[in-house]
Amino acid sequence: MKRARAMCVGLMASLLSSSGCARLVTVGPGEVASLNDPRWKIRPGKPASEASTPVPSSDPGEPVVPLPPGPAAAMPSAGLVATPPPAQDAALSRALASPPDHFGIPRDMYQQDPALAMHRFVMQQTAESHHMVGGGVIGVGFLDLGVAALLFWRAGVNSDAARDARARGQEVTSDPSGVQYLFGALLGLMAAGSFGYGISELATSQDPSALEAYYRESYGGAPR
Amino acid sequence: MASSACVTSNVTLQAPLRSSVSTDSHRGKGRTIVVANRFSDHRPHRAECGIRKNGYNAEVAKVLCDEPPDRSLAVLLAAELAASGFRVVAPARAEPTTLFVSGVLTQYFTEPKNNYFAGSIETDIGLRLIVESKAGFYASRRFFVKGEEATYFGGQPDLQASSDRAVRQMLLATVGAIANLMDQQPVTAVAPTAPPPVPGEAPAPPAAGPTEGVQ
Repeated sequence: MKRARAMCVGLMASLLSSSGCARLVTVGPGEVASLNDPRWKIRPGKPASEASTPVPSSDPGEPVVPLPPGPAAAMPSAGLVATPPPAQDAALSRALASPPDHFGIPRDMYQQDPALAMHRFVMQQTAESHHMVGGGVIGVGFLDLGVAALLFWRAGVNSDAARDARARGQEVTSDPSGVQYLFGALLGLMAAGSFGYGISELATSQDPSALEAYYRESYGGAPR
Repeated sequence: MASSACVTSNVTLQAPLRSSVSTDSHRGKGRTIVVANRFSDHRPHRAECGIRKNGYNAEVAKVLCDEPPDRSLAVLLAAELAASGFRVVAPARAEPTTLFVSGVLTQYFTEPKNNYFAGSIETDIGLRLIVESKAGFYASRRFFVKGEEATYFGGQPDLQASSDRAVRQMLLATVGAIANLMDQQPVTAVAPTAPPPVPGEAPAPPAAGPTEGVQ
């Protein structure tokens, strides 16, 4: 008995000593947007006469000007050959005019710019991983619930047998029904938690922020 | 749940193949560009690419990278720009209108976020890209992405999936942003220089060797 108690204390101590001390390095999902610049910060080019001098690679102290988003933001400089903005492409214009999907992206744009489809694929993959885990956790919840039901049933049988034995005047030396009720209740709680967590994982929706930001920056305007 | 003895050994993340992180973009339009073959490494934790934790949220092992991410990301960016239709050339073969892309890697870290029932592996990548030209054009932009893979066991495949997803998101963001920049702000003349120095630290080794044709 003493040895069992010592083992129990040792186990608890090892659990406590190894709990919750890890670093937390990655940021919360809500902070990601603030760590992204919404657009390029641009320092305009020097006159052509100065073009022969290589520029230093980086000078964070230099003032920069932000570039407005969208194709209309083309700001050709003197002597530069401008690439036509994307919206001037006829096929692109047709795709932009197609009906929007539930993210507000014109449906034909996914064929026109496969990078949009890849953005959508990445967010689907992320959501699907949550859905799969949610399904697995709910499966474990059913398992817990089944074992809990079995324990309650056995506890009831044991309890009745003990009561009958006592009624017959027999001495009952061991009645495990109390422990079985306790573990059954614990497993029932775990099952309830599993169902709650699993449902929350299944309900994880796709986060379209990267898709929308790319569309907004590349083709101007907010998704419809 | 996502716990136990199998998480106590160090694991090594493989640098992703381009095919597993491709963006499918085709916005290059044959425009010429130079990409540094290595970014400056300004990560707060350079000795590792992440950590592993047990089900009690205790740190039990390291996640290492088989290739430094400041190099693998630069190579993947060059390869992805080439695949999307840019002509990625070595600095020596740059034309007068060629842009030079370099960057500072500010974060690359993979870690599990566990709870009692399951968990998820999160990979953060932070990158500051610099696009410049010999004419004095200079543009910079911070990118930060989070790759997430919900998991029950937190094994190496989940760590790799999370890392690959973050890399793909970063490539989607940077390739798209570079294409947008070149659509919207045509510029001249390249300055094929070294990656930018990190304030207060020794500068990274200069870009060396061609990036052309990286696939």
